[in-house]
Amino acid sequence: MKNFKRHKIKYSFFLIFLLPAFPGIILSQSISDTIHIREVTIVQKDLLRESAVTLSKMDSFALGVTSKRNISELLSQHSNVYIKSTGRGTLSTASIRGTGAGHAQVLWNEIPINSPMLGQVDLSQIPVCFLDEITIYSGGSSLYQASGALGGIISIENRPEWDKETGGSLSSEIASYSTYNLSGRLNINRIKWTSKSRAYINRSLNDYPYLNTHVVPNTNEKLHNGEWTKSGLLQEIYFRIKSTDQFSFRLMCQHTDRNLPQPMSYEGAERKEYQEDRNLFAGLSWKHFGQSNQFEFSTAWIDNNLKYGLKSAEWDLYRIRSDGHEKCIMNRFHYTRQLGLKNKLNMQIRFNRYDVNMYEQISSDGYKAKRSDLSTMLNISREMSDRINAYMLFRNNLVDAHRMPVMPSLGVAVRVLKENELWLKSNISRNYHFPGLNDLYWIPGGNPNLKPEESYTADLSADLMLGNDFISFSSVLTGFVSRIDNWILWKPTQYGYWSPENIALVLSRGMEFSFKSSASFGFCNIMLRGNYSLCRTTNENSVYAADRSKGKQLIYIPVHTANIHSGISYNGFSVNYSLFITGKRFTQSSNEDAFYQNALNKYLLNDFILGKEIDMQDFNAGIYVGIYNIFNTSYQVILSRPMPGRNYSLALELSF
Amino acid sequence: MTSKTFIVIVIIALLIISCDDDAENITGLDFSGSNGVFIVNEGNYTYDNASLSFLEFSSQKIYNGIFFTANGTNLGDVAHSMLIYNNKGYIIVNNSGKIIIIDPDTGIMVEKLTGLISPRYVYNVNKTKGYISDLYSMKITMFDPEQNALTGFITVQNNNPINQHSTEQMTGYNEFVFIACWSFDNQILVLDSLTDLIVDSITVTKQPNSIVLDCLHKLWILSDGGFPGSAYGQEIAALTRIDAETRSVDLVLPFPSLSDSPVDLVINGSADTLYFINNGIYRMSVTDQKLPDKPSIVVRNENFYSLAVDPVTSIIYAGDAIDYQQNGLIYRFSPNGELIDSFRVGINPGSFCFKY
Repeated sequence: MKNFKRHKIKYSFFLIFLLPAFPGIILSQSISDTIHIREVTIVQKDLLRESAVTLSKMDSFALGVTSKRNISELLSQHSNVYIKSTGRGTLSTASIRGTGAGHAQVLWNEIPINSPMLGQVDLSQIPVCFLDEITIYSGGSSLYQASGALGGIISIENRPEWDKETGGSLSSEIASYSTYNLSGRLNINRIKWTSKSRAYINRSLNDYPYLNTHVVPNTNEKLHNGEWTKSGLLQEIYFRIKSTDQFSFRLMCQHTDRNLPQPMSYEGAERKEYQEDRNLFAGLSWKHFGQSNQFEFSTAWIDNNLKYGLKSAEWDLYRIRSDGHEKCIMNRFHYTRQLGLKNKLNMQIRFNRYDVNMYEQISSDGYKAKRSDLSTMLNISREMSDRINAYMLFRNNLVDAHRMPVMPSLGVAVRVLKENELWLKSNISRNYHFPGLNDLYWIPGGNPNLKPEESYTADLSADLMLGNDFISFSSVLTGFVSRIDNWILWKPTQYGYWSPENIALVLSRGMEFSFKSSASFGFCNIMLRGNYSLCRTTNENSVYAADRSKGKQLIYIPVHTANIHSGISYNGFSVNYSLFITGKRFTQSSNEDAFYQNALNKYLLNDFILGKEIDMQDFNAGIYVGIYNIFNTSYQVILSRPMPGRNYSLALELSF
Repeated sequence: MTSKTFIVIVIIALLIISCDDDAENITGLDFSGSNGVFIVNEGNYTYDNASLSFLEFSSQKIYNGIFFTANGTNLGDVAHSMLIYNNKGYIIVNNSGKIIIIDPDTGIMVEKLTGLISPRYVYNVNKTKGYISDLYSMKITMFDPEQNALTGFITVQNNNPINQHSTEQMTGYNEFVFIACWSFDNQILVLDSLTDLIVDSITVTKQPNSIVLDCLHKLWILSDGGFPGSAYGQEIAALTRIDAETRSVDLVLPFPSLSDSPVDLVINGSADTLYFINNGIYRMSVTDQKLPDKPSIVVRNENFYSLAVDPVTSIIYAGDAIDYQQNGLIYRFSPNGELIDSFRVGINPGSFCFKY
């Protein structure tokens, strides 16, 4: 009887969770995105800190607090990566150290997932609940993983949890602007195999109110045509054949339908702009963990389909109706060998094959293209002494018949004081980014004569970690400089369409600072953390005599960005307060802002999340309330794209 | 001098030094009685940053951002062209789907025509009838300039998915309006303004982008020929002459190669001299039987983006988009092609409208 009651409670919880999936049952309360606070995790020593590779890893706090969001929000709120977004739930791309969206490469379990046509990844498409780890390799450190990431690499990982029992979780959220989110996870663990299944569905009317200052007279409006539905499934199965060998299989499919709002000044006839994304990822890998030898072989199949349309309601008339299809076979072999006690050898071979088909029905234009990409890497790292580590790395890349020059990266890490965890690191590198297939073959305008973009980068960072059992503090201060030649820019041509050219010489330099501090007193945990980035990314080339862009900050790249998070948790209650600061961004290459719409003013956002976790015998439950953009700040990330004001969310989570 | 006075003086001096010396600092607008030229700055696609500049002839001063100054916001998304008719300024804001009507003396918006699809040009037949061409709607929209209201439409739909009759520039001869169909098309439609019916069409070289009428009642049509790789096909660009009375093609002047993509055919006030951009700026008489070999204004370090000729003085105006992402320039040349001066305007100066 007791068990029956317990199950009854459990099923009731599930029913409560399912309610937001059926919004008709719920009062049409409007609230936004997610909230979920996990216990603050004290930063642990990471062996990679002691290498000269510059990287930052998101911890469980960052993943937990954004667990029902997408990784564009995770990165913009908890790292120094700047996210350029056309609006809530719409296209979001990453800029690392002031570089372009195509210079930020995204790896999913070591496999590059950047679109071979566009060269970039829409980060709003990847939900945080689909990842277990995320690491950012900045600057030249990215060569350890792949070439072409002139800004850096965002590496997303899924991991088996052999040491956990079979269990799962279900979470549900109702948020402003008729936003509903339901996600679940089920882990089945056996001695020889383990399975992780995750699924989500997310939809929103996304009709937030805003003051339209781009029409005369200014009017209070609601965002029109901004709704979306996103759903996805991720299945992982890991087999432990021997204690030294693990096979894994991963399958991910996603389905996203989005409508795209029109510019704020639009007062024309009813028209609809939409985008449909279908993504399939299937991967196999074999990992061997020997005593001195380790290797991993991965192969993956990626199938992406992107449909875009712009049509007038009148006569159902399409202006643009494009269909892009990408099929990719990706292979990676990574070998690691310990050479004695102090040397380590890494070798990597990547071979990727892309087959794309782009077609625009209205103009009957399009292109088909194939690309083979072979990349090899050799890395030797050496522990010179107990306080000095160094590495050298060489990467080669052959894209079809185009052989790129060798890409070297050299680094050294020095422990400054024997008794303290203070490391100084430095690395220098050369990297090349090959143009995307649209750059080369798009009709009209593709330019098959484009040269690869070439970058030289140097980093210097100080990495400090202090603490004891109760209090911890860690910080990383990095200075960087990067010069990129042959930067590709699209510009209008004499034919009236746009075409890419190797135009600019770009110099990016600045500093990044990150810190994490936490204190634990019994049931009470306190934390304070933040990131600050100062990045001057300037065009150093001017083509025309009247050009005023030389030496000016690239458009849409802020010089200053920062985020600060503070939180306290006590006896299951948690309170988190976050502050996000984005500096002024220019929208003219000459950095002129005579009229306010030509520059985007700095903005400051405040978020507040309150949570309560209940620990029951068979399961844990959590309830979270979030208030975002507390002071109802009016801001834009892209010109003419309004962002939401104050919004709310209520989330329930059950794990067992 | 006290330290406070010194600080105040320094601040005032800094404010004066930091003023933009390219443009007038506008505090109020009154161009009544002033002759000049409006420069329509397209801005960038989807950025809502189109703007309007005005060059006052008497003072030789350029006033930038006048629509913003008068109305508190920018024009919208991709301001394409402008026409002054009956003391009203019609500014066609292409990707905002509307036409903003201003008082040309003050820049203040008096009305707007909304609900359009992708408007490009306005042609006013008389005080109560005007036509609006459109890139995507497959119709000519009619409006009443007196009432500032849309009154109907004339379909040009031909059910051809590629040749969809995207209507562009218009010019009139007697009661007929000749409409160039530019994008993926090769037709000049003839619209009878008395009956509002399409009564004829004339085939020209692919993609006619501009059309003018000369003093000899001949229509001149500049076609860019399309672009490389287009499924519609590309042909060599050409300048075509049509007799407006008989509607027959009587002269075709092809350009030398496929790489020529001429734009912006304009005519002077006396309608006897043609100008167009083909990298440089070319000039020819309406009696010439061949294209000029050399440009009369050679490109040195400019990026010519638009062209106009003052109907009274025949001074040539050329817009320079520079890198398309910063405030552009306009150059003024004498009728012989000598540079007079230049002014910094808004982003992508795409068209001109003279105010006399």
